[in-house]
Amino acid sequence: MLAFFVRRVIYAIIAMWAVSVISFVIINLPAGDFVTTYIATQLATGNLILEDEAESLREFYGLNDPVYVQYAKWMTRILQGQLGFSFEFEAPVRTVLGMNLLNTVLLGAGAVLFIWTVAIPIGIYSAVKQYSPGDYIATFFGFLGLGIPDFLIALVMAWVIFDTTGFLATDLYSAGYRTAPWSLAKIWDLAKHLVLPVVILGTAGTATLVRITRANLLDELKKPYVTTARAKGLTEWQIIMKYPVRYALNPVISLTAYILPFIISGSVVLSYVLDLPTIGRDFLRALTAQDIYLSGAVILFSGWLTIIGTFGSDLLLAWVDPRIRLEED
Amino acid sequence: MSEKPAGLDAEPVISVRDLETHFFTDEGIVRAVDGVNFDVHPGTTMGIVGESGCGKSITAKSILQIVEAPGRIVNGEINYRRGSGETVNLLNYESGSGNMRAIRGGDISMIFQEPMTSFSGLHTFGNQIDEALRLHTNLAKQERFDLAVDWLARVGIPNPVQRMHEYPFRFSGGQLQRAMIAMAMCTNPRVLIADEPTTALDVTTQAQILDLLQRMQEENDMAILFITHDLGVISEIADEVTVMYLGKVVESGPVFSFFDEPKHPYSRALQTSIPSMFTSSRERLPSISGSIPHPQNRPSGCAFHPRCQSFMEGTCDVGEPELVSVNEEQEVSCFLYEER
Repeated sequence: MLAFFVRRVIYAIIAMWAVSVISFVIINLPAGDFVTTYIATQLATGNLILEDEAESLREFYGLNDPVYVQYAKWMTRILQGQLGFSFEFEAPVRTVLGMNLLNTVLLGAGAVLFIWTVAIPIGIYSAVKQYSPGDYIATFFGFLGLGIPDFLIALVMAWVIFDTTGFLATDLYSAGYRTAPWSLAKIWDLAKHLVLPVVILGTAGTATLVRITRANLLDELKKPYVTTARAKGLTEWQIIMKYPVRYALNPVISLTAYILPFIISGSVVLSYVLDLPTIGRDFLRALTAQDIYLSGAVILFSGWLTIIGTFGSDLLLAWVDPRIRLEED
Repeated sequence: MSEKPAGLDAEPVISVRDLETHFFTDEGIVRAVDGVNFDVHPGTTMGIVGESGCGKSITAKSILQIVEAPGRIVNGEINYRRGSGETVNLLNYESGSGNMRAIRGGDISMIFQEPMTSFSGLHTFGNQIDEALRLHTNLAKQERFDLAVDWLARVGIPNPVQRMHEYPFRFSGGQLQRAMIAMAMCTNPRVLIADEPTTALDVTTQAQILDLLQRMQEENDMAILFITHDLGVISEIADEVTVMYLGKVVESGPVFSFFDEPKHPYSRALQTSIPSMFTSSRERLPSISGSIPHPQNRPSGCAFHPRCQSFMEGTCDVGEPELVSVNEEQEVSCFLYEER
């Protein structure tokens, strides 16, 4: 188990490093350096920047250094929490992202939790009662969930909720709570606002996982170990929950890691439509404005979040499956 | 097996009558078990022989009512004589009922063909054997553990205590079959159904497992229903034999009569297709011509007639022969032995 853990940690670190290199490359892709861009924007607004000042900026950001030194300096600053300056928001990237990073994590974790709690029971039901009316209904809604684009469901649902209950389901905080200090009331307000985006973000993943749980479980139900368990005198329910479901859950866990990037990138469009304060919304704005430090930081964090999520699902997998856990010893 | 076991004269512990198990598939009904009769006597071994697809495994699963959908028992009786002498028809119990589950793994245990896949790889062996004891005994946790360890030792598994905490993928195939026997035996069943328990094992391990089963039978006075396609194994372990072909019993009787004087043309053909020590190695082994018909394309009359050496036109392809006694011990279903 320890060997497995150490190896996974090393893999995760390598992957995080690779993502940071890619983010750095993306930041440096636009022609010229960002000081050039900065001067151009300043000029456009009527501010004149002297060549001296530009040079000192270049010096400060190490733009005259070789690329790998620039990368090292950038990485060092990131690890110290200095993410650079967002020209679009005219504030440090750290201030811009701030709470939004937490909101993104909340939204992603909520979506995964939603997917599991909904998809696994429905998948089990669909497999055990294959070709029953319930199975067909689950299949029908599953394909519906896969087929309808998130932003459409989001708009329709937001309108329906507002029309029937008067609750404005956009944003993650009500106006009064946005800057208020944390309190139970604020958490409750946040929870209420999280429901709709979590459900919408989770629909496609839920539909996928229902199908996968069902297909896996149908395979497992035919395995000889199920017959052995049956011949022991267990009830059908005990058999299914203890043996084949345990087997069928493995792919569900590993697929969560696969779904995670879709949840994070899916949240970009959804955040825009529902006006959610996530890094997805900032990302879109940063991209349209060529705000390289901000977009670089978002790419970096999205990538890192995915890697951490995958790492978590690997650990979970090792925990439930002894064949993975013990392969090293 | 030099003398006839006393159990053969006793009341049967299991008596299967007119058992019919059909599979309701989209393509039509497959009559996998089609009117099967046989008795299993206490302390003896009944061997069911037949080619793949003849319905022998389904017959075994029908006894415990663990036939998978779309299979369903549609007719018959499975009379089980309890230790108290009371006889119950198991088919009167619902498949999922508490009564039936008490029988499964309690009174009647079963071991299977592929020991490697018949255990869950995600649970320790101890967890899986404990389940049987928890369901069928009232012992406390530690007592169950000790009993399981004791059984592992009895079936010849070294380091039983350590093995209890290990996962099945650490066991070899032979060890797993031993472990499965321990798991089936630990509840002291009166009948053990062994569904091709040696098929997936190499010959040396096969012999060890057969010895083990015979030792278990003697020590626990238990009846065995042994299912196999291997006549060598049958001659080794069985007291009585039932031969099945396409869901029907074609011949049954004591194992000696079966090997000395096989009555049904199918039994005879099976025996001539076994290599013998006395034939020259250059000689081509006789085989049964043709292949098993698809269950949905059952031949008319006697199902064996297209492959039969003694085929009588106008008789065998018209009517179905009944299972009739040809002497005190043997029963055959063939027109050669019917009064016409």
